[in-house]
Amino acid sequence: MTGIGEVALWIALLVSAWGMAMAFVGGRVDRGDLVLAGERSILAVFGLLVVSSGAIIAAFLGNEYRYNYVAGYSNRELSVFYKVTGLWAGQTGSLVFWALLLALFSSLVVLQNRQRNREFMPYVAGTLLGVLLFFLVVIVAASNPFKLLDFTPLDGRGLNPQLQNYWMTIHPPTLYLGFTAFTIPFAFAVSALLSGRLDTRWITTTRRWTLLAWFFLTNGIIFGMMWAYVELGWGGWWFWDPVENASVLPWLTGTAFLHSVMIQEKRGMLKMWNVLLILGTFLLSIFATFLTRSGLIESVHSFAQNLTIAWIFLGFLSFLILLSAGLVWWRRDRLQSDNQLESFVSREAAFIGNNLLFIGAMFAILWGTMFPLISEGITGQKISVGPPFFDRVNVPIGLLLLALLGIGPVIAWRKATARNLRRNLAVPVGVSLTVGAILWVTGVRHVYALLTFALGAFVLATIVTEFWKGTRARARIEGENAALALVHMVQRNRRRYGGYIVHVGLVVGFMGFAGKAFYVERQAAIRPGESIEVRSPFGHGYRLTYQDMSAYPATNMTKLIASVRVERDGVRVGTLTAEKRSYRQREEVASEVGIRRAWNEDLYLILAGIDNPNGVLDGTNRQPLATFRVLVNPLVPWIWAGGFIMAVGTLIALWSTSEPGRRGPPAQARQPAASRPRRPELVEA
Amino acid sequence: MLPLAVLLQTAPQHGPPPSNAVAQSAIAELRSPYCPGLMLEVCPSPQAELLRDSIRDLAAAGETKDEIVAWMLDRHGEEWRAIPRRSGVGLWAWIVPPLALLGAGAWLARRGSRLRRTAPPPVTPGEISPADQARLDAELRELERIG
Repeated sequence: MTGIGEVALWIALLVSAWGMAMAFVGGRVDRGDLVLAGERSILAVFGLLVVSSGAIIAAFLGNEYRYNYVAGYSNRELSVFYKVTGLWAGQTGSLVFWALLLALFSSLVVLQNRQRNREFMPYVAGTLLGVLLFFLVVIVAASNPFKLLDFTPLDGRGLNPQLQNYWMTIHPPTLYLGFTAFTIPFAFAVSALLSGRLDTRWITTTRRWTLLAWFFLTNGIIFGMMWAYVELGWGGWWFWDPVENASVLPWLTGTAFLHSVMIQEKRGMLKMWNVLLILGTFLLSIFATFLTRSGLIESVHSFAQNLTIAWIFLGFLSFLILLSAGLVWWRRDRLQSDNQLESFVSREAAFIGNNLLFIGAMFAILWGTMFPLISEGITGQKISVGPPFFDRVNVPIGLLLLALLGIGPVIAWRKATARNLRRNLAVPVGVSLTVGAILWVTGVRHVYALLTFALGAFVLATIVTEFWKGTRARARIEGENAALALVHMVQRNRRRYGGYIVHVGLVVGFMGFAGKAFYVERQAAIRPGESIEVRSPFGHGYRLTYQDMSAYPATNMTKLIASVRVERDGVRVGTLTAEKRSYRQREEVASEVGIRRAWNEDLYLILAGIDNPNGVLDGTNRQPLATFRVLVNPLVPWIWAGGFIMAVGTLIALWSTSEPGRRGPPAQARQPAASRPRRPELVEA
Repeated sequence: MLPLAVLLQTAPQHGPPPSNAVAQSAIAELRSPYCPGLMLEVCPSPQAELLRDSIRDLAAAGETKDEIVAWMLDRHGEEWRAIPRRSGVGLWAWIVPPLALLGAGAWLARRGSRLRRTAPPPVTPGEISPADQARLDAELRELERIG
């Protein structure tokens, strides 16, 4: 089985190279049969990668430690669940997984467009196969999962303890789904540039793909935050780590793209900008993978480092940048706007402002992430750029974005009048000022938190007003009751109202972030029977009483578990456990935190240290002194709730009925027949 | 929102008590020499705990935040400073992002003004440009779809 896996990789490489050539040549000379060969190559590559991925999983499940990759990320004691997810546990497997997901999405594009978008498909297929070819070359040449060791060890090294967590099994695949799905609009953009068809069709055709990519990337980032929160034991969820930063860069440009395409669709403006944004988003996805895999910048995510791969990625990235710049320059005449900006007080201007801020945030994060390398390269002096820098630079940008989140959806297209502004913004501004004043009067003095809550209230008020107005109008016109009118209104324009729901999620998430300003922390070394008291920002008094310390041998580790009784306002509310885990195979120690969740705050318990842990294990130290760190993290649950709301909103928008090609005449019917590469079966028919 | 205000009103504005505030602000500006990529305040290593204790002792002895940071960097090296200095090479870290944002904003504003000046005159009644016709068709289709 595993032998077949390696052969499948080699065949996939050859097929993708051949298919890419066929697709590009077919597009160039207008030969439908060659294009079809390219498209079928994608399906073949997907099948081959399924075989190869299956072989890797089989090697994990079969404990085949003669393979370097399996020996490095598994051992006999590892559960079946983590053996299956071993496919993406390390760099080698995750590159195969990347290629597998890309091949899956590419195959879906081919199947989706058998009768549609034929004029785009030659170059779309060629581009997708080109990216697949790159990954397969990297896998085969520098990161072969079937590389054999000189000897077969009796057991593997096991999986990094921090990766043995539910969220870590779901976080990387979701992130990869986002990165790879952005390849589809990228491929359509390249195809539009190569074919010169630079109207809005490539955008409307890929709208769902863009939303899907954004959906996965957003969720992937949130899952990563959840993993960091529960697994790394710091009490935080975002640390501006280089690898975290790299994942958020394409998210920022992708979000900007989702907004700016609306201007092109409505007003025929920003054509070049949209092309640049989607090209940049894909390039940043590759950059994120490069940064994660290279280990060039010190990161807590440096689970895998390979400089050879880093240089190959850098070469590919450089090639893509040159190619993208060349294509845009070549087609610059066809990328001119059909319309002009008529007023700075218009929805177009608000969206342009939003794009400016997204790109500004992206640049600031990229700059801060790369600055240590840049400063060291130029001056020889390594200057560290940590979380306080990113907070100080990005929080003001985030607040401005929050303000635009409220203004953008309600301001008129082309030119807003004073009456339009008054009518749409008076109530939200009133709500915002009232909330700000109440918070101020009640003693909230943290400026950024105060602004976040006030602006959040402003955005929520605009969205509620929009829903209310729409529902009321529909109820009046259609004679429906309010609930039915609301449902029908959302159904009729899922993209718009789904977008509003995403905005609600973002606001809730922002408020969750702002809760950090009120966190409370206590640390103390205590013996069983002693307590730590902490008062939460919401006024609750917590008493945590250390009960006992137990030692448990598990399959691949030994656990030291501290039990802590929790009382809130004098009432016992449960028991929290916090652990130190000692992994035998990797000789590593990891912490497992205890979290008591409520709708408004988390009580977060970390077992920071144990006096004489060996005594606990051998039974000579039954009452060990233990150091606990206790945090009360206000509004953290709101971050996860915000993420959930954003996911729901995106799914509603994804369900949009407005995709072209599904209604009305097929798009290609409007193109001259001679300009379309034809499929052979269609010609024969 | 209102319950939030009521609930938060009892909150101290920051976690650490005032006696610890100096130590906490110093710790928040330092990376940990013992945890790659992590800030000192969240590094779980026992050595980091000792370092944090030393910083708390210095703060209790009356040292200022800057003095404590300088003390730590003297012993471990400048690379553990988490926030670039606002002088020398570090200054570039701070000024480039806002300058880029302001520059891009100014460029957009200038370009927008120019575009507005060169915008085509309004069409006379009875005429309609192909772009407007396409937009009108799209809007009508949308209207029809919304029903």
